[in-house]
Amino acid sequence: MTDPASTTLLDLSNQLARAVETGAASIVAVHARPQLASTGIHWRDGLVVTTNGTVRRDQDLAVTLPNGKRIPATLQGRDPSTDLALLKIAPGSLPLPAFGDSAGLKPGHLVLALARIDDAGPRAAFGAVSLIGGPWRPWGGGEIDRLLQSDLTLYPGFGGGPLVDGGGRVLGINSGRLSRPFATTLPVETVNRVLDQLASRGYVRRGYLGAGMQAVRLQPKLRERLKLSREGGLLISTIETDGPASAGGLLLGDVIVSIDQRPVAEPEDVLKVLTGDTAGRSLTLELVRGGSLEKVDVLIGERPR
Amino acid sequence: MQMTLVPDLSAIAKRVQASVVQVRPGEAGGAGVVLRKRDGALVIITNAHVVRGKVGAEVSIVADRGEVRTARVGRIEGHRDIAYLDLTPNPLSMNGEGDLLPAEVGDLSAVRPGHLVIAVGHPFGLPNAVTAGVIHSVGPVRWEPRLGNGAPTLSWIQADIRLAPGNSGGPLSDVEGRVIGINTMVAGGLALAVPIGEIEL
Repeated sequence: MTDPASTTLLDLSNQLARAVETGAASIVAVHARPQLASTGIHWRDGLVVTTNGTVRRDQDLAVTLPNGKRIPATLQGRDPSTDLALLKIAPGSLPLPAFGDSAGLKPGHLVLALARIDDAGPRAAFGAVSLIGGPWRPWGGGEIDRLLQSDLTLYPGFGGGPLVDGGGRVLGINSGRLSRPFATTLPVETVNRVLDQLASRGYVRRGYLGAGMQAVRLQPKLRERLKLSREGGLLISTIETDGPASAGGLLLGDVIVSIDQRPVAEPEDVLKVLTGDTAGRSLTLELVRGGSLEKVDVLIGERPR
Repeated sequence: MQMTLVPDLSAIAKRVQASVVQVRPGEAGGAGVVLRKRDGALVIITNAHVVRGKVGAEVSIVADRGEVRTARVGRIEGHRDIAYLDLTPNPLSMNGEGDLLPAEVGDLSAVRPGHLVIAVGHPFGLPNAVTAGVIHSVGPVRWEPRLGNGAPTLSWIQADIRLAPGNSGGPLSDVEGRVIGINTMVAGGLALAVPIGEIEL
């Protein structure tokens, strides 16, 4: 007794089930930790992306394909700063996904999270986009192009799986580690950028100063005398022996006010300046030392892994 | 599409609600769904834990429109936490069915992850509350809950839908209002329902 009024609802229901089927054709179960598997996405041919937090070992890795077959995988690289890991599998093992437009998402858009944790078929969770924001950095300091949070439950094993739209197109990868408390998705652009580096180099390159610092306020009189517009800077509280900061002649107690002409007031600002391409370059640091403003050139190193 | 989706959902919810009863063995209770057996008689399906697992016990049934009836626990399937309640005849109604409207039974073989589902029950005693969600997966669950006499590997409908105490024994329905499962427990945040095919009608 299907009355005509219910066909739109039935259409929506069928479309959601189709979206699961479409998206799930490109996802695998990743066996890289004891007990429960996690999910991975066949992002490019022979390359599976999952979350770094779910890859607990470097060897003896395997994935379960949509057809239930279990095949070996090798670890190509990790980036803890964005919680991504890249695995290699035999090329042509499963289809590649279609990617959606996460830039066009708005709060309220319907989305699904998908998972595969065994050979029993895909699993789905359903909800709506709850928050869209600009670029952000998680605790690990990685660069994430857009904040994307959804009102849905990431059940155990959903980490590393895709967030898909109503057409089953991949909008990004769900990270359990970055999802406390809200389901958080790393957008496609971020994954592409990290994947390029992991595929070619095995890790994500980042600039490194080798100094610990904390935000401090500068005395108004001092600021006035030195003609500084910003209220604060970063006080160097530790310097690593033989690190770039040490080699460049930075001293404990220096207060950095700019790096490469970009003002810095929070440790976060330094992470933004020290992108991968700064490694090996000499940058000018402006700092307050003994009451006067000095410029020191530091050869930026590469962040140890 | 936006024009009819909301009325659709409420129409389907109403249709499901019409077949849901409150099962009150005492103070607290759960939900039950009215189905028609092959022999034409009505039966109320609920969870064994809702009726405290006692065959022969009499329980009160409150229909959607408020009619109060009594029913007798006819059969218990402990390993699936299912109870079959037989209605005691209602002398006031012509066919003995009164307010009770049997639900249609759905086809589980067509159900896939992502399909929309509706649950009706009485969470925390709130009568006939509706929640909606999607199918998560169908099959054995990895933590394999064991009930009663503990059968080995059971198939469950797992749904990404919010349930609470009071939803037990109520229907999990598809978007055409057909019952596909009996909501039985929540595990790891997922609703587990006994597939309707395992209910003997």
